[in-house]
Amino acid sequence: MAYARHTVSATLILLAGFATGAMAEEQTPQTADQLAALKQRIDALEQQIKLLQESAQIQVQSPPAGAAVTAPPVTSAAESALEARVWKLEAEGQTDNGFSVGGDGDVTVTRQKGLGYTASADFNPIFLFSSKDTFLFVAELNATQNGVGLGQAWVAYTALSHVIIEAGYFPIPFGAYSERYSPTWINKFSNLAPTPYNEDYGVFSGDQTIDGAQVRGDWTASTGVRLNYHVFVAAPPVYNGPDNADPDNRLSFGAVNTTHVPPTVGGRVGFLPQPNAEIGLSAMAGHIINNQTVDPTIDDSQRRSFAAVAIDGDYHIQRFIIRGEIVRLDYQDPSGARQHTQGGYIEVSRRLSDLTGWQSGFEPTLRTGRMQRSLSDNGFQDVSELGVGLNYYFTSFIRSSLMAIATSAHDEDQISFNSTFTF
Amino acid sequence: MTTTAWTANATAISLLLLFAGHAHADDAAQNAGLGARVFAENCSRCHESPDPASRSSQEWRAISVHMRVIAEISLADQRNVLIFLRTYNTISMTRTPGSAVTH
Repeated sequence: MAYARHTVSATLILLAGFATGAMAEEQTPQTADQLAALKQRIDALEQQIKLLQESAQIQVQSPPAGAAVTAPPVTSAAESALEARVWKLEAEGQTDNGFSVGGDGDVTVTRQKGLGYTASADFNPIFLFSSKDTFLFVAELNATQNGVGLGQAWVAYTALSHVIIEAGYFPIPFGAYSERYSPTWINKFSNLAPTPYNEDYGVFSGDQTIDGAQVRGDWTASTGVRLNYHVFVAAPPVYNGPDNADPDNRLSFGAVNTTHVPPTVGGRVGFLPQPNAEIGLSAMAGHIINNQTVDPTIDDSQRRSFAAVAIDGDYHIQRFIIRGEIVRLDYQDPSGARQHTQGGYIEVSRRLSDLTGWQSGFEPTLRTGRMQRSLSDNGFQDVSELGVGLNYYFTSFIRSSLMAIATSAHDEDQISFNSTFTF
Repeated sequence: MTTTAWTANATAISLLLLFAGHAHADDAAQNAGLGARVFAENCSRCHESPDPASRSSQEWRAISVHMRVIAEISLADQRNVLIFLRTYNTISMTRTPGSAVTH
């Protein structure tokens, strides 16, 4: 009995399914006419695409910069679909060149212990030109109150899908800060570099740009795991040692080119187990140029060696971001003795985008770091740093920040206000 | 804009393209959807995601190549992002036909 009931129920369900399907197939005369008109329109547009392909005239017609134009009368999703096909053909056909002028600028007012108030402003336009998705030319200028300098200038050639060759003057692919996070509008602490890049007691004097060449690329496995790599050769760094007028021991690339000292060789490998997390390992080694403009008595022919390693990582979920980097540098001082500098930082930020209205623009930030270094006179420097900040995003391209940094050395304690924009 | 919002936009774009009922729309919708995902996942890793309507196609092409190199995304992903950006902008225009757009 129960079996029979189930059979009848199943039959009724099947019949109902067929009936529904049949009803779905029915079309009113009005709908049929609309469909026929739509198909005619699609056919016409397809013919147009074909003609464009044949005459190799598929190009994006951009109006003059700044010109106000009337949007095309796109009235149906079908036309959008066909336009998307045209764009896809353009993208795959590599028929197009690209050009963009962007960049950033910022104004900062700082009150630093012992120095009082200082103000600074800079403007950094960046010019991009791409040709057929294969060549990329990048040039950036840094304009400040002190003058205009070159921020970066390099060309990249995509030789293979996983191999890009880059040459020129470019941010060093060592760690993550120099290449990715150093622009003021990106750095969660505006123009305040993290501890290993601190101008006064870091391993490096600020973010680093090198003269050289690199090979870089990426792979994505079918599981979604990604891997990227960099191998670079660069002009050697200058070292401002304790025997110089500048008492801080830091490496600085890109300031001096010489043929007397062999180039620096290095690289970075990045591993992304998932799209929102990356761990990077970097290493480089070479010889140091003594800063002869400061201390002409030290001879470059000493060939003092150095080696550095770094581990960087970042993780972000929703609008929470955590970043960090650990750097260690081993080098020979002018007497030939081995010295080292090591340190790192960790930074967290959380954009409060789950709040409503204007309050969603807030982003509290926290950063802590520490640097330790041995000195030629058997001394030892140990500096800890703690920073708190509050960013406010007026739009995705305008941000103001209020930051306070306290250090164990105290002479670097400061409060800073910065407004930055990107365009 | 949050990742959720971008995903919602990608879904809307995909649905609009699929509702077009055109056989080839599937590919374009899929590319745009993949591009939206790459856009959402990669841009916000370093900075705020830009407004897709803030640049012309020619500008997006140069910027996308630059970001492919810097952010280490694949060539296929770069092209999907371009398709997403252009589709997004056209559908935005569809919503307000005839409106003035400054490139």
